[in-house]
Amino acid sequence: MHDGQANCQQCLQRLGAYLDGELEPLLRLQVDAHLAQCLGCRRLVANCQQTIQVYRRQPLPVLPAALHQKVMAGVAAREKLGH
Amino acid sequence: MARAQAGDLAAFETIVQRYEPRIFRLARHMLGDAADAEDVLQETFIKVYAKIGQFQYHSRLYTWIVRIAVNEALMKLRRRRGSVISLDEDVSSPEGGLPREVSDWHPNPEQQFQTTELGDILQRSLEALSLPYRLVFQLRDIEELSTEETAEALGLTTAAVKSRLLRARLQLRERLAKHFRVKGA
Repeated sequence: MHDGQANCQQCLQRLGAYLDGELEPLLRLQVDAHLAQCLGCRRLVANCQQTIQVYRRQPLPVLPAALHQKVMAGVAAREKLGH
Repeated sequence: MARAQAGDLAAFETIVQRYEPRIFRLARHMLGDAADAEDVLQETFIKVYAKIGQFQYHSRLYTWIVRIAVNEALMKLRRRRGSVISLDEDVSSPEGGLPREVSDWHPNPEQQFQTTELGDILQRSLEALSLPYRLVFQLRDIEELSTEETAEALGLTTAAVKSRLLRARLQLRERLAKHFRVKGA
């Protein structure tokens, strides 16, 4: 992809743990050092972070009251039958 | 929670209210259909109510409800397809290599697209993933369950969750890139 293919490959292998903040400090420093000089990997990390964030920012669906009532009616019917 | 476990319907309703939007979203992403997701939502909470006395606090209540909802949605998919749905399917492809093209993205897709259009892009991109990847991404990155909770809810090892999550993120990134990339970057 860019200079230092092996480093790019290592960066990819560690990407999941890096994104989740679960990489041990030394490995994180190594990835950070690689990102500082590799535009492609830096963009890849940023794209992945944006992917996660754009989904997280999506609002929860607002359910119609009728659906909640339908769910509770099903539960109440079950209760009448006994657990 | 103790009142709900003792059969108090009003107490149980507060649990339903707290979690039903998330469970509906989970089911809709799994099934791709709002009507089927409504059925799964109802069946899930009927099962939760029936079994809540058995809940042991070994896990978070939400994780336990998610596991029930996933099973209900899988049963719905089985009935629809007339075949067994396995969470092990389509995960044998080799580890992906480095992406060939990585561009800068617009910093804020919410400003780039109308709300409905963005929602459609995200929904279609997610539904294009195979179910095993989609589920892991949804539980880890959208619903924000931990790796361990996701593994528990899906009956997977933590290593499988981590591996599938990375592949799901990379595949989604690839699909979203054509919408979000800065042209000419």
